[in-house]
Amino acid sequence: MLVRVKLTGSGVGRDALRPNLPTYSDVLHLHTQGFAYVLIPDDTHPELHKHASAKFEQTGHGDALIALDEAGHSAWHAHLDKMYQEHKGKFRPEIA
Amino acid sequence: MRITSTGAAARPEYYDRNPTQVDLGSTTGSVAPHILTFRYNYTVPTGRKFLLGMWRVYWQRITAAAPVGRTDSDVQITPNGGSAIVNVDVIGLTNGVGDHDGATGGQATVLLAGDNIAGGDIDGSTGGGVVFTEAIQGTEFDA
Repeated sequence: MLVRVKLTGSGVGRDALRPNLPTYSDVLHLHTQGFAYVLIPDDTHPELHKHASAKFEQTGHGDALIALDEAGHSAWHAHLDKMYQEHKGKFRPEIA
Repeated sequence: MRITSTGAAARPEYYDRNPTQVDLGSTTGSVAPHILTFRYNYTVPTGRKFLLGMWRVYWQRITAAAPVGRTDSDVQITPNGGSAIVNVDVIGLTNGVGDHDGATGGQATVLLAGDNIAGGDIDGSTGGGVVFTEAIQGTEFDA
């Protein structure tokens, strides 16, 4: 699914500018605005489609998730912690 | 004569252990100079492994810079708990419109749970535009 997420990282050394996600594929980076549209695997992020607070925007690449409330983010982060136990607490993507 | 252990015979091959094809990558438009930016990222989930099949890195200058800086397209692997290493890259310092460099390769590298592979690019020029492509393909399977 397509999501619009904030970017993190300084771009210096190995600290690349990137979304704080374990897995994604870039669609569009908007450096100056601090976010990117990226594709993430549907099957590894099931909460996002169905969450009551999810709002979508139509794009040329399909509908992009552009809003999610705090509870939605918490559920997403908990799912990532469970799926990537070696990196618990590391992946904290934020819909922008 | 024993040519294979019973244990090995009982365990399916990796490609039969709930395999998932992983295809990640991106081709940018002509982008302005920028800091190191990851275009894709893949982390091996808990309880899984990943066999890297192929990678692709490429850049092509679309408009001239003034002055030109270092242009780089690369693949980096970061072992869980370790530091990133550049697996492959193509680097340029030329300013002609249409100048390009790229590489595609196959590589049987196994990543373990928590390991990461990412593809990114950087353009240290002032002005001008470059198209970048980074991609990987591989198979994720039960550890």
